[in-house]
Amino acid sequence: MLLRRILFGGVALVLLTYLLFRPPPPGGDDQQLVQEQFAAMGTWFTVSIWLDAPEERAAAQEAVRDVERALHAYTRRWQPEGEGALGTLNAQLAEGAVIDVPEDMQPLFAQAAQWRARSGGAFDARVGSLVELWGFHLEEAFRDTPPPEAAVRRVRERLAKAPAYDGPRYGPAPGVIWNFGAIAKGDAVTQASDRLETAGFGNHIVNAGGDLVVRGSRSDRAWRIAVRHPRPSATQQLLAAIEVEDEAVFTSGDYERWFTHEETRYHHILNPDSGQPARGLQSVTVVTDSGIDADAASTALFVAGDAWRQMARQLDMDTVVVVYDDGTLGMTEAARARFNRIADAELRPAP
Amino acid sequence: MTRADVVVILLLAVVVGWVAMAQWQGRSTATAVAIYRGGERIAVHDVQQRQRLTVEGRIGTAHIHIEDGRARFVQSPCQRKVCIHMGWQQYGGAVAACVPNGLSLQMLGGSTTFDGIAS
Amino acid sequence: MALPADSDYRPDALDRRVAGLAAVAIAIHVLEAGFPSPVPGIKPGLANVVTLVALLRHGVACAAWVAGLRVLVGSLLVGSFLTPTFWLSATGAVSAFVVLAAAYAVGRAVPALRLSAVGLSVLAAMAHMTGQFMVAWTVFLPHAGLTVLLPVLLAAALVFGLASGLVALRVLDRMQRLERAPEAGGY
Repeated sequence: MLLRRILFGGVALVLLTYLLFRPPPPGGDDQQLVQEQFAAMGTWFTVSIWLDAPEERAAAQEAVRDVERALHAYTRRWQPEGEGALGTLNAQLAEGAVIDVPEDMQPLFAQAAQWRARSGGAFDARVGSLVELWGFHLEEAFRDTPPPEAAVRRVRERLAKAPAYDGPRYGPAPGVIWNFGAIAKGDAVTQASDRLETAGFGNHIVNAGGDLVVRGSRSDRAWRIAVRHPRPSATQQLLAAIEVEDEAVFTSGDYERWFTHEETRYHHILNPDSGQPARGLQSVTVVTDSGIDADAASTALFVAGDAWRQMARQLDMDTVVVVYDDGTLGMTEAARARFNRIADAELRPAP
Repeated sequence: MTRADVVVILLLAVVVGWVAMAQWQGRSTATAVAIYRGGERIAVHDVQQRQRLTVEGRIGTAHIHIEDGRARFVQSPCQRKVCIHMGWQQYGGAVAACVPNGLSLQMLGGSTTFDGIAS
Repeated sequence: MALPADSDYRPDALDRRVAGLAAVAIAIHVLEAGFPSPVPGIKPGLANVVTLVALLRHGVACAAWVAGLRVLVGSLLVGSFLTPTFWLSATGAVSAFVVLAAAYAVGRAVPALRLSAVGLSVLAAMAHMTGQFMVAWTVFLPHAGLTVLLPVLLAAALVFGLASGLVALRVLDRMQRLERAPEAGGY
């Protein structure tokens, strides 16, 4: 019967249309997307590459392996303690010696010195002794009580007297331990991105545990980046989203390494001036062209706390999103224009 | 019953299929979760299916829960428990990782997914 | 269609037809309202069969009266008059009727596009559901999650539309046969 045939035909057609257009099955990733993950620099790297052709997959994976090896070498070199290049320099400094910074390390030393000057000391790579005092340099368990006041004061006093870096020769500087934790990731991720670019993969994201450098685009659209909420809940995990092209997105937050003591959160972003964890903000996200700048600036802005707007002007950072201690949101004008807000946190207006 | 009837009914069926498709693609949450060990994808699971996984990592056994379109680490032999603190992951592209144990999970799928999560 | 008692106004053929058809439609409407639906928002919509029969046998005007009276009196009887249910039902009926009338008019103008009861019924059912959904979504429950239901609702409308179309076809067929028999009354 014609009617029955049409009835079945209609149902079959609905089914067919659905099957045709349904979302890709679990795990069915895009042919042109390569995603590789590995641990390096004490964090988890995710490298996403958009291929011009699916056949380049193997080559891209090999390029990522290259990046991984380079990152391991980078980590060894810039580890504040141990046998690496920086570890050796720090050991020499601890003995009261004058150090000669090797040529290949001078650029980052110079960058760090420059950022310290620009930020008025909010960013300071000489704070290794403070970091060690608080125990945040340890990979695993760190302390669960803040260090004694007197010890913090002693480190601060020595830091105040320590010389600034202004050339390949540095020291003697008792009590100074160079720690590039707040800028080396930016440098390393940028180098990783450059390496991929050189290998012929100009469309990629290098994501180092939430700090990322983005190049090019994902075929016909820009790469989409979401910023995680510093206090994620079941319903609000993401703060805001942005499309980026050839930019770096770096976040400093109090949720990465921390402990609680007597209901106060002590986190790893230390204010070089007070010797205490910086107060006022839960997180700072900076979007700018260079990974190094984004990394250093996010730390400086976090340390600035409530005064972050002034610091952002001082550092020429125009795309900044912060979450205040009370959970409200702060955004620069450029950030408001570019970010799509996801969480329904209240936006605190600029004063 | 006329020829026009057949055409109209088939067209409407296509409309229904199209609406269903648009609906599916408009979802922002992930459809699957991939589990990685040392960067190698070792498994992919449907996120709608409630599951309690035990996964062997470098230093011990981790527990991963999957339910209601979300996934998370609930137990891990590592000391800092960063992976557990990262909580539920729901959106495509989101990652939770346990560096010491060499395990990670990543949410896959959905059309308004993000290519990277900054944190 | 209320008549002044002391008038010499005689109900004409259209009045009698409308009254009869509307009565049947209202009866079905009330009966359907009495059965609990497994999924909120999904009903077979058999009352539309009557509108369809009215349209195909007696034209747009008759169908409009039948549909309008059905919604109005039906909701009064069920007790849903001016409640959200009524507005949903009314929007659905109006959307369905507009689409129905349009398709009917097009079919008259261009014979190639002429739809039978089945095609009309499916169109009307989909229009009914779409109209209802838009009102439900925009007025009563503006929640984005609701759109997840739309494919299910539309699929149900398609199936039920086909079903009532087939019923309408049968009814029309029967009525025609009854008419041929001399003793038949019919509407």
